[in-house]
Amino acid sequence: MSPENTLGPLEADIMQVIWKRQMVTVQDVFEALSAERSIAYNTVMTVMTRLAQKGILYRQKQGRAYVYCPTTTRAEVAKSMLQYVVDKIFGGSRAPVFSHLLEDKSLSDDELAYLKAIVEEKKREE
Amino acid sequence: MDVAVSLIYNNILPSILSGAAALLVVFIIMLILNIRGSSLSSNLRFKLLELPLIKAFLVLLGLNLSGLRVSWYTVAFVYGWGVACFVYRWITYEKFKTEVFHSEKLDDERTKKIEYMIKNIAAKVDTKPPKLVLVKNYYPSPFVLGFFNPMLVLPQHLADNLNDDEMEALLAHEVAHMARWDNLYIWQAVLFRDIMFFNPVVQLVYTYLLKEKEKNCDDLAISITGKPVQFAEMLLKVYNLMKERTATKTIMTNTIMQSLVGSTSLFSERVERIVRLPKDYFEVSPGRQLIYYLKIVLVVCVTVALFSINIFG
Repeated sequence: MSPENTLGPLEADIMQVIWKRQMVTVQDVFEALSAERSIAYNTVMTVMTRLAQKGILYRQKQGRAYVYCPTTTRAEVAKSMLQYVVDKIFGGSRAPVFSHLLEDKSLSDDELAYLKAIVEEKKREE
Repeated sequence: MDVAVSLIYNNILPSILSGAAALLVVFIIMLILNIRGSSLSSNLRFKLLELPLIKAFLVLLGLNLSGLRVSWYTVAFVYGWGVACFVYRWITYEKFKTEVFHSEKLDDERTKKIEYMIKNIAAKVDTKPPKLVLVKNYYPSPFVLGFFNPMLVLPQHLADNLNDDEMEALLAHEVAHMARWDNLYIWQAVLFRDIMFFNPVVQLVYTYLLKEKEKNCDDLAISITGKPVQFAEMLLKVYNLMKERTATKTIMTNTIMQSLVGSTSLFSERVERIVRLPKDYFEVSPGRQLIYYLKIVLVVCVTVALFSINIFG
């Protein structure tokens, strides 16, 4: 996956809606997103057009509107994006000749909260 | 066919078994080293972990202190494959270095301030300060690139978000990598891993080495700054920034990351370890120094024994 094909935060949110419903119009996504945040219809349309250009969405005209569906699963995109991050930024197994501060694993919210709590506790002790 | 069978029975299998035996010995010695462990002896664990790699490599070659048994096909296999791996790694490294080199850099008052901090930290560990490259590109984590004239690559978003204490902790960790020549050691370990791709013990040792390297650098960084809590806070902050900024956040949290939740990540291991370190862990008393020297003698004896005794090779 090239940098152009990785998803930005808004693209990721739009893809969440599309993966859930599988077949959507711009209006559907706009309604789903505007329930949670303030967003313009044109922004959603622009982003979805870009996703279709990237090949992540397939679109077909049905009547007056375009219907969009995903060309790839959530897991596939996540896997290739993670691989991109691992390869390009963290070096993964390909470019080990640099040392970095954090490894490429992720934590659950609970795990993170636990770590914060023990650090706070230690801070209070000091 | 005969060559392949001979390579498997005379080189590959003995190499795997010797590596496993060496790793077992190293684990036992590490348990002993952990007794009254302090920041002084933490680096010995890293050095010990390199032994199974070297042992497995020498047995693969048919070389050991008690004799020499090298066949032309072993040499051809090891050198041919080794050179190919080295060239591949080097090209990848150069490509990445070029990418960093061509990225947009910042050179303002803040850069000078960070350079000054690096200079002070490097002086504390008696090492040459690395060249600071403050880049506008987004990299989730800072990193040290290169061997003899290393550069410390710091993404702008970290310089924007970390306070002075956190920045000092972060820089101390990166300078610690340099002071310990980690890039060179890991490069060597990667080559061993590539050459002995068939050896699961080597893969395992490599994983342990990476973990040990980070923990050792944490220790050195904390001994430089003297602020363990601030160091743990910095790790958490950099992690949170990484999580916020990574575009994959939403998706990863919902899919792949779920499968990683169950595994103990090195990150949480490091934070927990730093918080739980005994208060006197970094103290250097004459008693501790004596124990440290005794441990060095033990490591030297084990090294000589491992390379002198050949059960499988």
